[in-house]
Amino acid sequence: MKPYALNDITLMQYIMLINGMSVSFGFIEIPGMMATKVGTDGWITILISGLITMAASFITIQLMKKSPHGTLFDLLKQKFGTWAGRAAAILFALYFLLYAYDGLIYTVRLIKGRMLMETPAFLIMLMLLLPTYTIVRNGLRIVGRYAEFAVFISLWIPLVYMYTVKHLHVLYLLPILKGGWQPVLSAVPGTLFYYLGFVSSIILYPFIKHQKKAPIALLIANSLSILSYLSITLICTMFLSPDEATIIHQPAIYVLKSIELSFIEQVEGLFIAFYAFIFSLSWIPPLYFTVFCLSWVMGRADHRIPLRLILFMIGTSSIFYIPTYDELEKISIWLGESGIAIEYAAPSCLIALLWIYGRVKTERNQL
Amino acid sequence: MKLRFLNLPIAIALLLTLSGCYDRLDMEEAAFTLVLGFDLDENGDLIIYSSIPAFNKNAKKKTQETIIHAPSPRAGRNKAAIRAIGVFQPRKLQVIVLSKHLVENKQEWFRYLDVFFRDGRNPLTSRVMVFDGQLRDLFKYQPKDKPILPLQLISLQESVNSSSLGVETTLQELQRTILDKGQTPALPQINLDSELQLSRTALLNHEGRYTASLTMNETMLLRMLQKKLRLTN
Repeated sequence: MKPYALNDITLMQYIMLINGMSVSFGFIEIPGMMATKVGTDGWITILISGLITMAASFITIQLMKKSPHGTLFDLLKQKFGTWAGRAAAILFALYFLLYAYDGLIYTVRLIKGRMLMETPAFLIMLMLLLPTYTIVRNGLRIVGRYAEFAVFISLWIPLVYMYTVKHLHVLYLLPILKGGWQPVLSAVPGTLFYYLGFVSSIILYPFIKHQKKAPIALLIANSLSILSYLSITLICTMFLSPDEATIIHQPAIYVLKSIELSFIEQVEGLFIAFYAFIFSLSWIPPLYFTVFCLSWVMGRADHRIPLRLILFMIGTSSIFYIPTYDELEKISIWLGESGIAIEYAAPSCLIALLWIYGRVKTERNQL
Repeated sequence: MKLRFLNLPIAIALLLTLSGCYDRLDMEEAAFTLVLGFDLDENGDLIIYSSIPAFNKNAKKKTQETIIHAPSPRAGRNKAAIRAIGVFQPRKLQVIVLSKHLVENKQEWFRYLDVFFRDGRNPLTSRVMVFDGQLRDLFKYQPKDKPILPLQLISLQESVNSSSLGVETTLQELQRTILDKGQTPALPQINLDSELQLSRTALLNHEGRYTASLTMNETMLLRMLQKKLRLTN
């Protein structure tokens, strides 16, 4: 009997949750970052780090196969005792909270910077937090459905970028690897930041309906992330001349400014407004995971209590203080570094630990 | 739910705080700058020209032209706001005309255009043109049988572009080519004899300074090199 059966999610929802969390604002940021750090070969970096992510997420699934009916915390509790589970849950709660905060602040800054310049930032924050509460309080299934809805309603985005095709210059991509492999490879760790989010499998796994297909779902989710990053980076490298690309802020939006339609102006404004759905996936699911971890620590209490507390704290703090773009970048760097430790390194360490633990136990039994 | 009775007051409170249309702007009250011109006076200081269509029924002339002496476009905008008949709106800007004198002599004149890239709500698809002569003459030019200046410039640009006799350069394109080491920035060059005509193409170096002009036939060859040749006939 599955303890989480009442709230199970379909494979599609699983795919959209993982994909949405990783893509979200990376889509806006990654072309600029690739241009400054790598130059015109950024797409190779994206491919390499995408493949690394693919491998890391399969390791996470391997870890979770040991615990088909419980989250990672249940597994740790069962093997190493209650406190190990609680410590892990608190660690992950903090990590997901930082993840959600980063996404929220990024969205507030972007909307304030590009669309609602006269509106105070805390009002924009309030506007974002109200729907967040109504979605997150209903539990994982609703969050999953929301992720599915948000991705499907944003499927027009590639079509908008089709309008920029006539301004693209394929020659800017050549010669390939003109700086050698060194810049391409050195930017890989920084790029991993934009793929974070797959570690939520440690919570999602017991909720998935067809667990055997989870690796395929991860394959699809990661391929979708790689594909969206590849396409936007290629478009931006072909649109901007190489030296220009290093000084343009948020090229993914700058590119849209070239579109002229006779019935609407400022296509990029419309884009940002609708893209808020995808942005929201960078904080709605992580917030749910945060409150899930917290309520797990408190013995599966009602998750709405920590949710209200957290939203209230974020909301009131935004009246007094909202990080600037530069401070936001620092938060992102922290998040990236802790993300590499938690998402890429921790699962394989845990697998090794569990394996050693298993060996020690069997040997002890044989003695 | 115990708290259900609270729903109505909350909904009403939220509705009351909706912004609605209090900051709307009627067309008659807005000053949409359709054409902006940048020129230098005798002392080498910036002069900004603008052409604004007048939607007022009583206005006899269909456009309002303003001339402002200002150290930068941003300062000029503030000065214009005092004098124009409505709220100054740069968001519909169609054409930016630079005098050849400015492009040839002013160092780093491209910085004047920086303000368009900075404000996220400004369009970057405005066409950039070079005018051979004093901008004062261009902004005064208003024959009775022709449409207003913005429309003239736009249709001129469209007709040469569709027959590949001239180049078409948006602000975005201009910045891209100025910063691209491998490509020469080119701007359409207009002049005013008895009529307004777009017959040449101005070539710039990578500081943005004017270096040479191409004739109509040479422009066709340039478009061929750019792979932008359109064969309409």
